[in-house]
Amino acid sequence: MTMTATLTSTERRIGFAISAALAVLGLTMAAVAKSGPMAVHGAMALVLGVALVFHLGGALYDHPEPSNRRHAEYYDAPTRFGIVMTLIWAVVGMGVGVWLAALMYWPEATPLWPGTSYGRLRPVHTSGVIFGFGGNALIATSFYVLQRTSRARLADAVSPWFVLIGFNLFCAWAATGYLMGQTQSKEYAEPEWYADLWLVVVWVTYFVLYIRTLARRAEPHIYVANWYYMAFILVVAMLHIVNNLALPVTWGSGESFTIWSGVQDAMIQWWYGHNAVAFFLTAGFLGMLYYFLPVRAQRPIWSYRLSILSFWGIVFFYMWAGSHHLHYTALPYWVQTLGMTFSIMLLVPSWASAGNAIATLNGAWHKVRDDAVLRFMFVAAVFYGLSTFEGSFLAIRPVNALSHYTDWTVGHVHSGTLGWVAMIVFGAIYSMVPKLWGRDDMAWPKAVEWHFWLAITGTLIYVVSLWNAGITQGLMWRAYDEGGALSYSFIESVEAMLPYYAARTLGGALFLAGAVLCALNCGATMRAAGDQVDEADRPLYTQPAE
Amino acid sequence: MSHETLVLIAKTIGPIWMGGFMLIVFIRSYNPRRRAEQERIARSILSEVERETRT
Repeated sequence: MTMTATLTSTERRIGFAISAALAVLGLTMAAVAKSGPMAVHGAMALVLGVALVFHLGGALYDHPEPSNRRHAEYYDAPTRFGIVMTLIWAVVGMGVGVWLAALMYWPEATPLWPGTSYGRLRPVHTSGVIFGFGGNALIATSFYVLQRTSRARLADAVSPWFVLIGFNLFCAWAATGYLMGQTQSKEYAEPEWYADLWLVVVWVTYFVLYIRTLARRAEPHIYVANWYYMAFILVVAMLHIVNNLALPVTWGSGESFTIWSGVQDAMIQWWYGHNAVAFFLTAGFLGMLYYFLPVRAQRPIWSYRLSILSFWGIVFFYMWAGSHHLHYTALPYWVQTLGMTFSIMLLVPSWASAGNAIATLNGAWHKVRDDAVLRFMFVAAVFYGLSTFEGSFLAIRPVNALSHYTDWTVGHVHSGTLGWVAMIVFGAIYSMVPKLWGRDDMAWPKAVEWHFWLAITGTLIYVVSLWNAGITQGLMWRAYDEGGALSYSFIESVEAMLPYYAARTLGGALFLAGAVLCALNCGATMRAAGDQVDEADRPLYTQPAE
Repeated sequence: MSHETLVLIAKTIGPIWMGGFMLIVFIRSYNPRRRAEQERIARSILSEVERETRT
């Protein structure tokens, strides 16, 4: 079902007006900037706005309006769109990641065009997988979970599309901006001021939509998954605004200066950076875990009260942990110690969540054995426990002295992103896609099993090789001979990395192959559904659960 | 207010209020009188799935 077919004529008019406003905004940006990345981004917004104007304008009177029955159904069309975008960004983001891993082993392969240099492609990978893949998955699943746990339809039909299309415009601006050399040099927050402002508008709309839908819920409670999604939305807004406070050089340039300086800038950056891990890459995905794992296993969460305790623990402890990124820097020593202490304390709520998820599977281990989708979720919970233990460990100052600036950190990040985040996303996608496209199962059920083994093998090869790489680097850099001179030159430590970089490329390629298989499988399921997708929207039940 | 005073406040008030907050969360979530309600909430998502499957 297309977007327009789900909208009434009034909603189409509203969408038409917003699209026209977007086109005007794009035209203004392009006209003011005249050239450079901001002009290109203005042109992109203009093209998108005009395309949407034609799409919605052409359907203003042609299509029949959706029936009133829709108010008694979940509104899943935005979730379907979000899943498609998740899969597209997965292939793009992970594909660039594998290419970059290959460049680490074979740097001579870098093409001459500056846009293909490692420095420009690296943020395309990180933003592509974190925001494109992870962000779309979070938004799509949050709409799905919110409606089902609240027994309420999304509060309106236009906002979800604005959020999803607007968010993907931000992602596209980010990726293309990096290729043109545009960055504000803040890790995981590279897009320039106008993209940041646009994201604020999108995010506030998302937050308001979430609150309005929750306010309409037919359940007396707010299920814990929604708490995590709400923390994700609210805190990411706060982090994004504070970290991106900047003064544009001119209104027509895609360049700016941050208002922060010196060690305060570093502290703000890593307060943002680590809490991006906490609230973008953890809280929302825990929301997914707390919904999809019990539902798939058909067992209630092992301890609901523990889930509440771990929620507040994660929310309050994570907020203080960012300074562990700045050990041995100009940051006051006690602030570093504070970050280290809270990082260690974080292990308690993190393991409480991981343990709660794994204990939920007690009595359902036969399902884990037989169902690859549930196995994705189980492995996600295990890797969540492992990577949070590793995170607390790496935050300890003497350990950090060995690990910092080495590939151990990269291995740790990928144990979290591949093993935890991507696994729970794939589990959620495989749970939702058949239902949302009106089928009983995926088109290729055996491919899900293949995907699982490709993903787990790829993750283990990647993570273990970078553990070895990082520890080797750290030990080589701190080795001294009897005369007090360094035992190894830096280039010797780089040469020692080659076998590990080859292994990491192989691990990443296996993981990417699994993601491509997932995208093809989802595509086949969507095509097989055909027109049945129109009938796939499920009726909602307003009676509270007994 | 001197820098030292600010540091003292940051070092003491933060952990104290946060520890107090966690204590309140613990007492509220582990109150035996809430057990039945928590059990109902945990099962609420499963009944929704059963209903969806039946349609």
